[in-house]
Amino acid sequence: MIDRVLAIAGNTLRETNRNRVMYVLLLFAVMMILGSVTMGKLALQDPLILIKDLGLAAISLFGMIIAVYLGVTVVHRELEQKTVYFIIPKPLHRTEFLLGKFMGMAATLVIQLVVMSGVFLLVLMAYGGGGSQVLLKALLLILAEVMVILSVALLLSSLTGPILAGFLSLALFVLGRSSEFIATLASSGRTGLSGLDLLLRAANYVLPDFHLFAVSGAVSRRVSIHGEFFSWAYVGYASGYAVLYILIMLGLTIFRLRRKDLV
Amino acid sequence: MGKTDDIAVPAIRAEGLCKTFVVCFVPIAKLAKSGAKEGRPELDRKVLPRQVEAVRDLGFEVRPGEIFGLLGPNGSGKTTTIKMMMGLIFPTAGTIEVFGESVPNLEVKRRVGYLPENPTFYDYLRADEFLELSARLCGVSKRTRRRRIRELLERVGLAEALNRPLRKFSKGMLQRIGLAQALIHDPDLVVLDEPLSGLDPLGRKEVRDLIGELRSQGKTVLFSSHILSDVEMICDRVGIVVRGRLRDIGKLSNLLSARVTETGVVLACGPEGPGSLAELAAMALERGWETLDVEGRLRFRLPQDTDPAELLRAALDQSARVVSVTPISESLEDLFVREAMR
Ligand SMILES: Nc1ncnc2c1ncn2[C@@H]1O[C@H](COP(=O)(O)OP(=O)(O)O)[C@@H](O)[C@H]1O
Ligand SMILES: [Mg+2]
Repeated sequence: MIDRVLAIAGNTLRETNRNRVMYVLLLFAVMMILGSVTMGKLALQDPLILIKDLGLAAISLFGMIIAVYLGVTVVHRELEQKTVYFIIPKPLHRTEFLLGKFMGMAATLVIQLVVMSGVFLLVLMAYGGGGSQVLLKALLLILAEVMVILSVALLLSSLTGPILAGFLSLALFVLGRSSEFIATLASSGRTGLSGLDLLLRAANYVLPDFHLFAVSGAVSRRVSIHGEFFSWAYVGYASGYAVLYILIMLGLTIFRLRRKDLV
Repeated sequence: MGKTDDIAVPAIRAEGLCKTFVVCFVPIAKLAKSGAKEGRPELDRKVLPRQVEAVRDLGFEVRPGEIFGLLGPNGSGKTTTIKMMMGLIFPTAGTIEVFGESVPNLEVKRRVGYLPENPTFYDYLRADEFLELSARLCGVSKRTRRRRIRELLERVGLAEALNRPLRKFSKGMLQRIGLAQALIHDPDLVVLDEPLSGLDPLGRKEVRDLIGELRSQGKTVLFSSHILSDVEMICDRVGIVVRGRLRDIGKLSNLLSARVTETGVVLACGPEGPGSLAELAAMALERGWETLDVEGRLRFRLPQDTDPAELLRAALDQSARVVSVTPISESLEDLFVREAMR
């Protein structure tokens, strides 16, 4: 079973590696990271602060875009181009196929993030900065976040077409980033409608809490918003949350595709 | 390996198999418009839940070691049946078993090779990468993979295309590499959906030969086609599917020759001119025989119980020239047309 999942994952990685869109997105990300240098020079304070801030934001943004792109296109393309007729009758379970696909996309994202981080680090070093544990933690949080987005996009693409699924994923990302705000709104009772409060609270449970992973602002100013924001424990907690969320999303996707007619 | 058991268990068994597709979003506006035009207001609804009964109450058995042809016009439900066999879609009712197990089943899949209709594969892979993936998924051991891939590429005539990406493959080449991936793990049952479509005459012959080879290796082959000449040379038995129903099953010769229906007679005018034929045409009209006038020749279709001698004697009297006398057995095409008309 492991070998079959790995075979699918490896093939998916090969597919994304040979996809030009990935390189275009990566190029944009690199340009944005390099662009942060110009911005840094314009800044009145220490340029490194702005470079870090913008660099992390660029990595997070493009990680998110790539995750949504992969999540809504890769499996959909198998259905669209009828390659499922080749793969599903092979001696494997649909679950293995889906896990393999997810692992391949996840591996692609890791590679993309590593490349972007590498460029980011080079830029930092060119300006006398360097890596730090805080940066590593921030990057790990971004990684956890894009994996969650990937799993959400994958589930949505199993429910609807790729374009709608893409927009919905982006919408969920924005809402998920606003989870803190939504929570405040719900508990303040300022909406004046108890029903709406309840709805907001429920939404906060269901929506991915992307706020957990939002870090770039805090890094640049080297002050954490919460006391233990950058402790390893926090990173562990956020990663655990991500893993749980991903498992639920994958479970739902598998449930959705388990007995679906592949026509 | 379990071959003796297999004799008892049919390779494929379908019983009461039905598949209904629910087509929700048919071009609604178009249908509504045409519905209104034809005075059929029932079509003029917002969402039109429409159903297609692709396969209806289909039952058949394929015995181990035989070559079985699934024959039927386009849209008769062959591909739908095969997809149910492969676990791609699920029956609305009825059962389909492969090697005695209901599908999809991992152990069964290991013993089955499948070529989809009009196949498309991962176009970003090279031919060897693609077969490598197929072999790996089918559990072909690492040691034998390379040899097996070379062997098969040779066998389907793609040895030179080893390093070419599938993106650059023609339809016929895709069909061939599709055959190679179906055979990569030396399966007991090979299911081929329209394996001869998209091939030139030589390619068709090669694939027919390949199917014959599989027979001699004791494999079971099920393949679908809408072309009679494809199947009549190689099939042990055929099932004729029309509009989702099994119309007939058995040896092709039995199915069709039982329906030899007519005698065709073609006459040309003799030295005395076209007048002779006119007289014969009048005779045909009188007897109720079908005639067709083609380029100065007269083609007669005599019903089965009519002795052509009467017509031939009259032709000689009129000194018309007899071009041909042929017994016409019902062709598959005739059968299809007749079924479609019902
Ligand atoms: N996914 C589908 N949705 C709706 N109708 C379908 C679908 N697939 C096949 N059909 C219909 O089912 C019938 C049988 O199709 P098919 O099995 O492809 O026929 P064949 O392979 O014999 O040409 C056709 O009328 C076709 O239009
Ligand atoms: Mg078909």
